[in-house]
Amino acid sequence: MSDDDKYLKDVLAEQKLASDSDEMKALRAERDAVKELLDEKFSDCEFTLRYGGSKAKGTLIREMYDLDLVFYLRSDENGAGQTLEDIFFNVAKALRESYDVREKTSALRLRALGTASDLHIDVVPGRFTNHDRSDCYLYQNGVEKCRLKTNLDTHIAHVRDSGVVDAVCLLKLLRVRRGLSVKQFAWELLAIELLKGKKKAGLADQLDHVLKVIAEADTAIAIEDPANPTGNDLMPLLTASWSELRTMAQNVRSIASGDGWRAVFGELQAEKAARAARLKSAASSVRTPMRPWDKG
Amino acid sequence: MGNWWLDQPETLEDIRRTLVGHYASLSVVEESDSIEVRGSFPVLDGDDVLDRYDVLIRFPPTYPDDPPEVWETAGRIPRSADRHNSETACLFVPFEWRIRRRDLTFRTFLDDGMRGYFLGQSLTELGHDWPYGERAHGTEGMLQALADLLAVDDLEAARGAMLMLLKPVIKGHWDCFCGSGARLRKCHGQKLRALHHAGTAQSAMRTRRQS
Repeated sequence: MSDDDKYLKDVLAEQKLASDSDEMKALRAERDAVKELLDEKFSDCEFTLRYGGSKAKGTLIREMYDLDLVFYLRSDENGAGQTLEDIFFNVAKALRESYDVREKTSALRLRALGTASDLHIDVVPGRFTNHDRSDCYLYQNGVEKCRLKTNLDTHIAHVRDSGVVDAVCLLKLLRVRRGLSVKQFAWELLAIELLKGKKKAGLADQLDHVLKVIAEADTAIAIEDPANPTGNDLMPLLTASWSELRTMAQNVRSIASGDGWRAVFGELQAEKAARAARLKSAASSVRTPMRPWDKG
Repeated sequence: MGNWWLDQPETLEDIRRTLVGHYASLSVVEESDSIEVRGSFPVLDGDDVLDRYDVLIRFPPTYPDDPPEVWETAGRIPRSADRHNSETACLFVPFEWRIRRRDLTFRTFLDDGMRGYFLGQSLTELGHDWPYGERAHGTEGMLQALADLLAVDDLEAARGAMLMLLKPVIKGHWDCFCGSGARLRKCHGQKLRALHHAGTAQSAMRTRRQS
């Protein structure tokens, strides 16, 4: 393994959230509370509440550990509402008894009542298309095409079994740290598409390849929704932010080739700790310590 | 006010010698009306360079009675009072230099004042506290410095001391500012006279006027 690959593996290791971490304990406790609330509010309904998103895909990172909880009703279940729109807003109303709820396109973001602190949980209401409990319809709030057909299991498998989950996680970290506006869903599909022939490559090569292709592409590269390749057009998600992605890719490649991946992702926590210890030791050798002051 | 480097060429020579001998990445720049030091300041631990900051050091007309002013020029440190870097780098309350300057050469200004300050900045970047603590902003920070110099805990006592320092003469029969009930001559008189002699109050007033 090259030094670059080892460093990038170490970056990933620092981003892993152990199941006994405070963040994960808090998420589990909140998930249980959400389940209890929905059980109570929709006691007559048959529904499934399960993990979706990055938790299920294996792409959860410490710097963006949102938990998707999908709330899918049986195909002929009308207890939570007749239409997808009714379901979306009825679930929102039910959750508002215990949470500050922000409506996103297909999800309901939960914040703590009063403090509005982010609980890192999205509840995604939907309804299965048939008794197979496989494909599902989601309501799309504020979007012209208000019904989206999708398949959670297909999405999860597409990412989880892609063979490039580590690269997807690092690119997700890059997206978070660079404040990129592209949707994570489209970003990871693009990464998987570009790494189809690079599964055996090292992490540094994989990252460089993805960024190189993006940097050199004048227009957005085509991606498909694995759960609905012909029905869902994802290209607007990439086209809207392509210029930003290209600039970022050129910039990051330039930094990485000049100063290495450390200059992109920064020092590891262990390295930071060692440097802080060294700085503190040096500070103890200052003979006339002075305290900084500001005129204010 | 004359040019200190013309009046005291040995002081300028000391600065040059210090840089050549110990801080080769800094150099003296002579302008017609000022002396500056510019370059890359190495934050040293023994012979190892732990960090570097691009700096400009300017000497006031009252140097060496008043300390040099320092700017971090690369924009690495946010311009913020919380980072003690509003305009210049605020290494310490300026009158502390005035009191200690008999012990502080330009070398110790670099080795201790600037090194300590930039070590603190590097630690702050890593999310740690200032290694020696920090002064409160504004007048309160000045009073903290005065309290330290007079070895009193109470800022009200420091405020009383500052009022005494502003007087043209200090009288030994005054009640001591520390609140002990003793006469000044039997209590903190000697320390206060030393500060008075060093022009502490005038330095403090100058600093306030500049802000």
